[in-house]
Amino acid sequence: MPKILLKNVTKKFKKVVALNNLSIEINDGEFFIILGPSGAGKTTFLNVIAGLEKPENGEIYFDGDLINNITTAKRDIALTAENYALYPHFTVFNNIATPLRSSANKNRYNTKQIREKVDRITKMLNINDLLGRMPSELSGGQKQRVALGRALVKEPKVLLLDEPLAHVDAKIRNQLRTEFHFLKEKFQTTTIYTSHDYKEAISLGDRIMFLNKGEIQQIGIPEIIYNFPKNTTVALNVGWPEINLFDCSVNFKNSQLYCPKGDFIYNISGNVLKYLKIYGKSEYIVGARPQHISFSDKPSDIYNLKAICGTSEVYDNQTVFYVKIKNLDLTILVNDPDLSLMLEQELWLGFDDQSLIFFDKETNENVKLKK
Amino acid sequence: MATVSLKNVYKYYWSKKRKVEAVKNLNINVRDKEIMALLGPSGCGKTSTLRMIAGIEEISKGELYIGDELSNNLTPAQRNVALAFEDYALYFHLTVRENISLCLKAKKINSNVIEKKIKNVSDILGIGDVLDLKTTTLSGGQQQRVSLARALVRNPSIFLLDEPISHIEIQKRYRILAEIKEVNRKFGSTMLYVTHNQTEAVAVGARIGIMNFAELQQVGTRDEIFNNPVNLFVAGFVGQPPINIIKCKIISEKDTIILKVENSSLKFIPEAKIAKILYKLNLKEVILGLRPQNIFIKKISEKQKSIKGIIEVVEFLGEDMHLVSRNGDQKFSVYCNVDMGLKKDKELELFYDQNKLHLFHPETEKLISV
Repeated sequence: MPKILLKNVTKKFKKVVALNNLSIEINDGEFFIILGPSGAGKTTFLNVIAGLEKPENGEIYFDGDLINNITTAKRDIALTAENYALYPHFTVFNNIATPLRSSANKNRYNTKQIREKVDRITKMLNINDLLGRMPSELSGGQKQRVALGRALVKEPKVLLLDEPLAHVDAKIRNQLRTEFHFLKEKFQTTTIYTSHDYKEAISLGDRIMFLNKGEIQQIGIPEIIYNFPKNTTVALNVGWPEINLFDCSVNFKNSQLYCPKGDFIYNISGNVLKYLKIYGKSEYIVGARPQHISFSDKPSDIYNLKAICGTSEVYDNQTVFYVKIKNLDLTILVNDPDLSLMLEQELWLGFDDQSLIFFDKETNENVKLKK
Repeated sequence: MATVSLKNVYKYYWSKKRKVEAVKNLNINVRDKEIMALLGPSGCGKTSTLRMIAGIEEISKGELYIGDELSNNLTPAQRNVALAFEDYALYFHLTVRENISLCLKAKKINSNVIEKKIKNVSDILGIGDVLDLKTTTLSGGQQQRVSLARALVRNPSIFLLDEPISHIEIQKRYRILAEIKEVNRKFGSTMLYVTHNQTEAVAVGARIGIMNFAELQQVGTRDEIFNNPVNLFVAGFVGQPPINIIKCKIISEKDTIILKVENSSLKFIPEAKIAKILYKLNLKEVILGLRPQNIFIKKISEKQKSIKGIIEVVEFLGEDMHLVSRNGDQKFSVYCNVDMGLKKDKELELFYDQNKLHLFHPETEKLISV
């Protein structure tokens, strides 16, 4: 039985559809990530599960029980807000202990029990030396952990985390992201986590739901989302630098791709041709990840597309550079910080056709994922 | 020649009758046509430095030269520098077009020329469709683009950019960085780019100046900063994922020196010339820095030494992978290409180059080098 089941859930704010007919199952113990740009409906989704928003349509089940009419307090969930929402006048200890003292809590705990529970959770989160501090004396990362502690202390059935890493510095964000892997394993609570950062999503999620404008674009494990994006929207939002997209038509007779913008012809292998033939169309949007374009300074059978090199940047240990084939701009990513490229230099490119992603030109859908 | 040089510059502020040093004895030279990034955590003095160069903060002590001219007492207008701020500083009652063109109109430039310039810069920054909107209706990212456009369109000899892209979506940032570099290349303008984001600093700067606690720590190219960080702070501040910092005991074994990690079987062997220095310094402990990018899961040269680790976390990041491995009590990060064969609990033999071990003095935290 799924832990959480949503059937045809629709939520509107006046005329704006925030969630459009969502159906989804989330399993017990799963770390489920909702990924999408701002305005996608991520927070609304959490609020509907928490009972803070009432959907116009559809049913929500926890462990098989319909809970549409159950209040938030009785749903046995914990929700953390994007800005942590700690009580500024309470110490860390009291912030975390608050849910245990709540009158909505069935089990009333005595002081000793509260201390034990807070101790246990703060040790797991590595904040037990901060118990006497006020929120104003904490760093962003520490506040985040306190907010998590407050959410986890009453051992909820379901943990809802709204952009937990959005407000910390880039550097700390990466550290906390790694730390979440340990926390996830320690607590094993069913978790729904929203994010607009694809690295966070594919790194942490057991499964990911990509949401855009209130509609589910794709649900899948990280490798599927990255390697087989359902449509061009998912492809553009998952991956850095952005995937290269360009129009192509296929000539099945000559096993060739023709790209009008770059005015080039490219040979493609039999297996690729075969699935395009089965799909049955000849016009596509082709997606090439920046790390899947290889190059050489001399032409050869593999590197047969002449390109002109533009500017380049080194990001940590990687180089990102831009090239032009006629009117087609492409971005290339290489795991080498010491690449010496000259502006206006000639380069010869090759695509690995097995890693090219083909999208239907009319629907923008991934050809390989068509039902 | 559009150079900027600061000589023994100080900036004091007075807070509750106490003197606070925001910038201490700063000596820095921005070369002609160079993009220099000024990097540091918040409160390190980088923005104060930029504001002193712009002329909107007074210099408490020291000298500022723009070109060969001592400029301490010049007004901001006389300095011919353009500024783009983190918080935009746009005129809210004007449209985007009016905001961008204001300084050109003030200089009485022909309106056809102005139109051309606006078109050019708005195409680059992707704000062509909002030119006639009031700036209040724009998103934060768009406002920041307008602020940047207003600086770029003036085409001055010196650009000062203060966190100019911090509010723009991550996906679009690298495009704009490329444009900033393109402007620098095309117009040959000198740029000082202030940021707390090390990835951005490394991507945009020909050289990077790193500040901490009001003092300049190091100036250098990416290569110099990554491979020769002068102290532990610089080593830790630059690089993503962060450099592995490992405390080691120095053990003499036969003729060589070995760096041993407590409660772990990890052992590192420094280069012979560094070993000699360690021996001379007569230290018991040393802090070792090893970048996750400099640990390999496959041996790529015969000279590489090996260490062992068990995988604790595998982070699939799309383009690449981040592993957290453990040996005894010591955890360390490894960065590698996507490899589906890596799973939690797998034992790995990992490889490193001896010349990539950075050693720091346990007390001064300064780099120990030949």
